Amino acid sequence: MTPWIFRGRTAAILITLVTPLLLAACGPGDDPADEVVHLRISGNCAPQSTAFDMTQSPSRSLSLTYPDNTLGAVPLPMRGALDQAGHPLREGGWLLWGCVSGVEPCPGSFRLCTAHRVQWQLNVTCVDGTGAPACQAVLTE
Amino acid sequence: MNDLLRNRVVVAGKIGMLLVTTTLLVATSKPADCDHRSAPVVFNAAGTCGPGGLIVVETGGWSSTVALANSAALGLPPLDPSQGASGRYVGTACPFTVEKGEWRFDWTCPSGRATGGDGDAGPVDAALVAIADGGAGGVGGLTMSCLRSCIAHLGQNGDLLFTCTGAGGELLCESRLTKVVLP
Repeated sequence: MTPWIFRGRTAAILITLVTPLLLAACGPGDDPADEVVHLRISGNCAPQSTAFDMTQSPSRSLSLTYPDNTLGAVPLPMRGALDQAGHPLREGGWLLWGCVSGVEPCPGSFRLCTAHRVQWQLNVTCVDGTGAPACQAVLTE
Repeated sequence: MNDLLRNRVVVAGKIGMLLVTTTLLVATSKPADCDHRSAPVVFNAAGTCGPGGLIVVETGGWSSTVALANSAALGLPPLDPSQGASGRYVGTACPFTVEKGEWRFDWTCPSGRATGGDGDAGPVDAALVAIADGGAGGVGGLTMSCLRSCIAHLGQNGDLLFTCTGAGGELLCESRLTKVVLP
């Protein structure tokens, strides 16, 4: 006699119950994958149009790399994070903060920047350490 | 007799399946959301700790570390892991709710200051000495010999307070932190 567990109907029920659970346990998480976006900045945050890379890590933190930077000072802070909802980089909503002078501590050069998507570009607004408007920038790919 | 035995086996099998399914459901349920980093929170600081201004409080996922950007607004040295210093979230909420307090920073006194020697003060200690001496660009730093602890906690009226105490537990300064809703 065939053991009950190997019978067709019982096996089908088992597979139906267990497979989705195993897939849910081993499937991808909610965090987005690593992503690097090459951007160009214009506006009064940068003295001239500059290119940089923005990297999004799985932990939702952001970092900026300026390939041509030799002076230490940067147009936008070099670190940040996605918003709580974890919207993708290109949708905006993220924050950047830190010293744009490249020197810590920086009571005079602290910037807090937010980004909003408008059509094909990201509009970035920065305030200083007191909350006063500091500069605005436009980011395009 | 065979039917009785078979029925018992079937019942035992069903119970086994139920146990396995329940175990798998429990094992694969999402845990409390402490493994995801909470988004940074921006506060406006105002009070007796430093000149005031915007600060950014960021938590580090399940490790419960806390970094505070623009700490000069609170008259403090850089409080960031990249600067060799970080605080910690001591609450139990997941994800961390820094806007409800329960996070703190602790220091020991800069070793060079007490003895007047050079010591091996790290960047935080050096910055702390600079601030205690009225340096660090004149950010309105605290002028005491040793800063010990700064704790964010809810006040009686529900305000979030950032309170710093010295080595003897004496109150050094207190600022109110108001969450800034960004546009």
